[in-house]
Amino acid sequence: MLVLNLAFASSINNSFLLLGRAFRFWLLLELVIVTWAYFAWRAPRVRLAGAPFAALGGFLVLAFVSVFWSVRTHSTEKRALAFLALALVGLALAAVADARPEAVRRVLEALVAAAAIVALLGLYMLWVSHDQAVQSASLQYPARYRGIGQNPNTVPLLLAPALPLALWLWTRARSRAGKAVAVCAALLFDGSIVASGSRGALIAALVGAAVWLLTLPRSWRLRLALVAAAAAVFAADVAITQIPKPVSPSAVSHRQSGAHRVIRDAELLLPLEDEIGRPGKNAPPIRRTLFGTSGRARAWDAAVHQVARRPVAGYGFGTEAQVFVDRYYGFDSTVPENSYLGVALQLGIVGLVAFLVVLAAVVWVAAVALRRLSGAALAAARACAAVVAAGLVLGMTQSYLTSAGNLASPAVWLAALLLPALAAHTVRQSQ
Amino acid sequence: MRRPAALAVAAGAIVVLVVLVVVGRHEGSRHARQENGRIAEIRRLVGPLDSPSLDAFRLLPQFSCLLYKRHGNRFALELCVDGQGRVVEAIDRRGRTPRIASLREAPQDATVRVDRAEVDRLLRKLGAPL
Repeated sequence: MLVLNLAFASSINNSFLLLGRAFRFWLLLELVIVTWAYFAWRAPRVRLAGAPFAALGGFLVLAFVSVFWSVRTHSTEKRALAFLALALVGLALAAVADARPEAVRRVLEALVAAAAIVALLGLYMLWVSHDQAVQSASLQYPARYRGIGQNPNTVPLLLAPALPLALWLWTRARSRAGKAVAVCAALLFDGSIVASGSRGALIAALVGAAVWLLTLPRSWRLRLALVAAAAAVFAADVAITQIPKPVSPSAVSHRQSGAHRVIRDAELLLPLEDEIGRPGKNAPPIRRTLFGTSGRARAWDAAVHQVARRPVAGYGFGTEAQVFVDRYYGFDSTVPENSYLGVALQLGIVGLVAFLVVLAAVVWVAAVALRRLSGAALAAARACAAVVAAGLVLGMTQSYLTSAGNLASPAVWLAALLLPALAAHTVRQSQ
Repeated sequence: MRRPAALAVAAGAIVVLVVLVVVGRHEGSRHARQENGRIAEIRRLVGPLDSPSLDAFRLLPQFSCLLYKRHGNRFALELCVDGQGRVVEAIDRRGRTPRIASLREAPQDATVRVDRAEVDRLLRKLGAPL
């Protein structure tokens, strides 16, 4: 429900948008209350692997303390509280899952269901309003499917980590109908990502699927063959994304034919958001290519320079969108679209190190769980690890990992924080 | 962990956080000082706001800008002023790459000020739809 609501809050459609924005933080708060009430009711004896929670706690303390040097105190307070709420939900679910491992399965199933509903709503949007569901082609970009998302990269953020979960669901399904539903979900996710042309999501989905397949408890020959098959699907997906083409410059009418008139509004001639990297007057327009960065390289370079101005402690947690200014031709975002640079902007090198410690602790716990578990618990750990791997790769091309209000954050963080519960299960198994 | 060790760790963490607050605030004020210095420099290059070189404007939700020409470049110098008359951004485009000084993320730290009423008058003179 929360994921669905967050998808609404990032929608191109105003009705969805208003609905999502009105309820997103209330739903998060409600989830905190429900999960902690469930935890109190079950009162499990908790023996979680504590490293990821200790590291995340340290990072959260840093986020809250940054109020003292933040450029936007209110933003820092609000976003740190939201991130704390998400961490509390993860902690409560992990504590419950520690005693009842089947809870992990329920959480992962809910995440697949939410992603499937979001993808289906995208198709519904395509049916009722083509203009909203598809971003029109421009001189730079071909037409791109965005479903209910604000831009073509929005919904794929959720679908990429959900793809390995659909594979997990397929292997866990007992009935033919269950397997068919899981296959349809995987195809829907992959198809939606391909239609969006979101390259970062495609790579993240491949990495997630590869982690899922490489950790299969079968022979290395079979695992490598399956990864090769996933890579072949990825190559086919990439080839399909190259079929739509941007609008030809000759198709665009030139406005210079009219009488000469001095334009005083500089925003019409030199918009601030396209100032840097803008092609010359008679130069051909810059086109989006397979290996082009869509202006990201310039944006990242600028973000690094901004980090260098306040290198140790940054500008304050939750201020990424206020601090980063898009001045780069071909780039269209209020954030640098890299979660790691985003953390460095917000909390400086200290914050980035603290964040990497959190991720390293999660990866370490995942490795422990994958090495020691077996059966259904191993399958759940593989699914969670695949989601985390996809999420970390997505973090390289999207700023979202520390935004609790982003539609992909709950999926990635809940999967990450369920891993300590599964790892604790291995300790009990070995005892 | 034994109690004295736990207390030592907690005390150490508090000291680190206090140091970080001091460093964070110092970095913030140093950054504001540097940006204000660069904004002031571009403000000096512009000279009087109503100079004959005033050639264009820009209206954005956070601020309004006045642009001045130099050597054939209509947008050579730009001053962006918020509703309270604080110059929150200034751009010098006389070179190959624009030199940008900005405090748009923290307008409260901008110290260079101009008369906002005068800015509005000039915007109207340029035909800006105020």
